[in-house]
Amino acid sequence: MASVVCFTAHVVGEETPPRPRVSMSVAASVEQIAPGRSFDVICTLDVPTGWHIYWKDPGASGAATEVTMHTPPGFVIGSTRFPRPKRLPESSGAINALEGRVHFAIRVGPPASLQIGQTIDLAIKADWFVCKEVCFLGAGEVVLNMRVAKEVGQPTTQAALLRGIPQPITSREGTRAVVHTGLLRVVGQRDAAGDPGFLPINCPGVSWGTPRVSLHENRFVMDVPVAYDQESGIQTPPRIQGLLTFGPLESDPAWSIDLPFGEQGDGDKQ
Amino acid sequence: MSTSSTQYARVVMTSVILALTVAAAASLAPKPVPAPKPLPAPTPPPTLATIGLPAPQFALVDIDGKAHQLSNYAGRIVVLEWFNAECPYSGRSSSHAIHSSTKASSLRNNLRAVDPRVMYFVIDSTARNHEKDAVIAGDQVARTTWKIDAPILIDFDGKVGRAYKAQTTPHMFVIDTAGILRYQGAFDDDRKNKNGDKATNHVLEAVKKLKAGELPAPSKTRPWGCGVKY
Repeated sequence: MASVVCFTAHVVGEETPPRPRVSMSVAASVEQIAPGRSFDVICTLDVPTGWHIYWKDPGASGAATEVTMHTPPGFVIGSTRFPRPKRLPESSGAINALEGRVHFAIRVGPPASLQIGQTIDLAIKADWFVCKEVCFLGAGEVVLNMRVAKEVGQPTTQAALLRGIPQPITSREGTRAVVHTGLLRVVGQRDAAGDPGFLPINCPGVSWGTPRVSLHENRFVMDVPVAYDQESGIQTPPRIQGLLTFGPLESDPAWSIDLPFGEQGDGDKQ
Repeated sequence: MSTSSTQYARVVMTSVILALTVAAAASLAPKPVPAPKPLPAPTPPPTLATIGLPAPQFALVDIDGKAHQLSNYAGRIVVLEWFNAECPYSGRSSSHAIHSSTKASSLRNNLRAVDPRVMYFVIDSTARNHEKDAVIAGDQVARTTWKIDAPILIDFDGKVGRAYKAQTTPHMFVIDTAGILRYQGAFDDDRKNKNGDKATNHVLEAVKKLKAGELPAPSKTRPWGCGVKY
């Protein structure tokens, strides 16, 4: 319905280096929504050439991009899904960068009590940290107006963008991820894009080892050592999160993994 | 020549040879020599910063040309803050910046309230695409603008930053009175500066713990901010 471009800035004061213009647009995956029927909202940030923003785990430095949504009461909002990042070497350590046209997705579950014919306002807000040699904070906010119909409308053209955003690993056929005795094990079918890899989302107290991959004809087994330092003082129970990747490019396939630490899990919570 | 004269000649010859041999051996004998002066020991590379181990030593000059050496502050708690005058989380004007938002000056005041002898250093390892004089000039402007009442040390070759594995600006370190590194990581748990008084400043908490005779917990957090531009 709405695909609005917006740009705002936090920074006050003189800025010697030129500020890059990051534009924001938002679209729904369907033309109209229906009571109790989930859909996706796609938020797109256009980052100028040579600049980058950051993945949900920024890496050695930087700050994660945040995309949040404000809805009327009764809506269920999923976590923000990020595209696969590009690993960029920096002098202070490798970072997880997002470049060019970057698409984020949020799953939205409307309540069954919506009235047919009414219009719903969904406010989507994004905060980013855009860097090259220098860095700038930026933010934008867009309101998406969605009409409520008896049935979900046709997919929008932007719905196709969802295919480029990593899905939960549970939706990958024949693939299984478990955490057991200090090891994340992922087993599944190989991909033509290349060998499997793992990009962890680091959280305090959790340390990762180097993935070990063994290939057996058309299947793979990947073991990633993982440890939780209980002396770290971090009280929140950690989760094992990251991306199963295939091939070297950020445009190659990737699947998200999200498991509780220390318990045998099965893929992604979503 | 008679036999006796021949024997005499052999004895004389043998004696001469023996005398020459002894003389030659004496000339080859090791003579006492003064002990060699020890070579100057190569400067050991700074050890990498590790929680629970002695903090890497450093000697840096501040933006006024004054030298500072970590070892001179033995017996005092030392706090290090990595800094970049152009970073919107550090020295540039921004609602998220720890200096323009006054979070850094509040921290220094709170630290003094806990322990007036706490030594606070700001360290700038910025070098990439910069001239050293420009870095110093930028830091001098930042000091005046944000009223930074702590020495700003210049680490243009990045040796100290790399020894501490400083990744971001800000990236904070707390060293106890015995010179042991006790905390490294984020400035606080409020990167977006939204939580006001509810935010936890990890550095202040670490120093409070040390003053109470306890170890900081957490001792490590994930730092946030711009990458250090080595």
